[in-house]
Amino acid sequence: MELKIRPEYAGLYGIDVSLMPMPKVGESIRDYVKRSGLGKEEDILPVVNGRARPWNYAFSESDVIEIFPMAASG
Amino acid sequence: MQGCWGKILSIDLSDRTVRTVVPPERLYREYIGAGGIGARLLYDMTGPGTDPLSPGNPIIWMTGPFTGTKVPTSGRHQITSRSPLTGIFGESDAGGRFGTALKRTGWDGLIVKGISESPVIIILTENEVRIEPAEDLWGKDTFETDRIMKERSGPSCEVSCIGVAGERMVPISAIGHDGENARMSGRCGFGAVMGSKKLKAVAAVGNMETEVADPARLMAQQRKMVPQLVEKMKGMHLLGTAGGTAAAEKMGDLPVQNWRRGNWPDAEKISGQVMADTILKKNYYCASCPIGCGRDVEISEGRWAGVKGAGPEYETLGLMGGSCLVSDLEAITYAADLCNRHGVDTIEAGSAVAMAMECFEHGLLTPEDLDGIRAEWGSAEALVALTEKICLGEGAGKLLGLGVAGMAKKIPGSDKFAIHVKGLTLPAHDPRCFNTMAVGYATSNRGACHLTGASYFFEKTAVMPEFGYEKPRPRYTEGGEALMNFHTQNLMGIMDSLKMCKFTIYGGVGFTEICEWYEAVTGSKTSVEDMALAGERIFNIKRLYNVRLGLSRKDDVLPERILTTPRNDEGTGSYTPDLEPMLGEYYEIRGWDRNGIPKRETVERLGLDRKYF
Repeated sequence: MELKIRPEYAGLYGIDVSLMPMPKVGESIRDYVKRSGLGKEEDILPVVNGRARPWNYAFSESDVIEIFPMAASG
Repeated sequence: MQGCWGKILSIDLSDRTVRTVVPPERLYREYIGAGGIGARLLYDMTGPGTDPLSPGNPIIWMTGPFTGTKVPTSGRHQITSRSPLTGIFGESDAGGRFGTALKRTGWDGLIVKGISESPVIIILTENEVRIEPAEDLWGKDTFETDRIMKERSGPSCEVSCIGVAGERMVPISAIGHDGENARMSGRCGFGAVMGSKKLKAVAAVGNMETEVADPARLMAQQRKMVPQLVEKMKGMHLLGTAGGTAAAEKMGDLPVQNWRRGNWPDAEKISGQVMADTILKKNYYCASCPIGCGRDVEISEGRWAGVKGAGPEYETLGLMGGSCLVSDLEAITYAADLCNRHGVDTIEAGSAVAMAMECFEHGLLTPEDLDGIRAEWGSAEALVALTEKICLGEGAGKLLGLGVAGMAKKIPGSDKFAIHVKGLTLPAHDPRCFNTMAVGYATSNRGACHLTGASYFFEKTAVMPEFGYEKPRPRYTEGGEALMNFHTQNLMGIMDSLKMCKFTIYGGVGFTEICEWYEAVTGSKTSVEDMALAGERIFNIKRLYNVRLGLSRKDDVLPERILTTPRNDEGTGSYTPDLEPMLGEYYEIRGWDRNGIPKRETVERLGLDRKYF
């Protein structure tokens, strides 16, 4: 499992990437965000293995997770 | 200067005269292009007595200096006219490919006046201008019209056209482009202006390349900015504007039940994430755009089968979904598809249905008034059925097609359910969530418009360091709303005039980058100050157009519901905006008097009283 918090997200919301815990296998994205203190759901776009995922997606061992700032709505 | 052809085509359909307008270069310098020049032309060509559906009301398609070049996201054009929906200044931007195609015929723009005796299509190529009969196209939807014209004129033919709604002059009708990819000029009811002229479509086929002053400099900027845009706009690429739906609900931005309440957990069911997992087939890219936020969707089975084309944007999901409490993504997609095919503004349609639902709840509309349709909150069936009637201008659709302000005039006691400013309904962004939008909506020249100033961008992630906004403005910051709108409205006016997609602002584009591209394309020196001044000029000519119609402070208002009813949700709590002090400060910054009229010294400073022809 790999976790990449994009610098544009970290910079925007003042996240110290070194302090972020790794997600757990089987943990949902929603639960991870709550546990880690990464930020608010509405500010986060979670991308796993190159695809945007719903908040109830449960992590697998081989996942590559990227955290982007949420895209604007139109 | 490069980046433009220096000529605009003018056609009068009443007598079929065709002429070339060659504006002085200073028009391009002072009003830039597209939205700026369109506004100036409209101001100069019309008076307060020009009825929107009369021969004297021109409809103006304009490109900008960036259109047709490799500047990212420049494949856009602007349409300007007096709006038959609101009766005031109107403009509507669209992406896609038509703008580039128009520029490739060797014209910067097209002005159409007059009224044809019978349906026509205007066909522009590099070598000729043809006005041809279009009886065989009349009655066809926008997808079919595009397909037929591509069969006749080749795959590079692009079309700006109306469907049945425009032909029947439905006040909330729209103009479509790109066929089933449906890049719409949705707002202001311009489909009805084309319909009043019996103008079915404008088709453009050309290969002329826009000359750029410094191609090497432009290429260097491309190499720097395009990767940045692709990275920073990844969310838009993956989820489209729909990706923001669930987040908007959490924040308190999404309209819910005709703007009368807050949280709605069902918003997740109509999000871009669900769309990506279910009906999305592929991305759609406008010309010159590396982001690809467009959604190509298909619904091939189930109750709402038969959709193949553009998927719903955030605005559509907000007004047809949240505002109507409809959580069926496929039903919303079907309703939006009807609007795309027949040429109707989904924002106005969704808002009209939401108002009908509220009127139905209160007994102000009955099933008999609605052709037997029970307009109950959350009813996907009612949403689709009423949308279809709006599109065809039939039955109850004649009432809802008036838009919410028009509906309020016909339904006694329904005023408070009509959520609009100056006759244009609110798009899916709430001033109770982003308080800078309060003065933004109240002062937008075409009515409630989120993109005239788009100040909410700068309460999210966007910055404008050139004017002191080094970081995004935290929501509910007290004070400074007026100044922020002054700067953002000037910037957005410039983007509408150059032609660039405003979403690039999220990708780090601002005045500085725009100036670099402008110099590379046109060869003309500019500065952030010069560009901002041009933006100020452009905003003010539109204001003067409306002032000439009698608009003033009394019209710079917000709906009562927005001012007095808190959402009481997690995102916004009990906040309601206090517009009056913001407005007073805004007028002062703009150089307007207490009644919202540009002062003499402002008119002179901006050169608004200059003549160009």
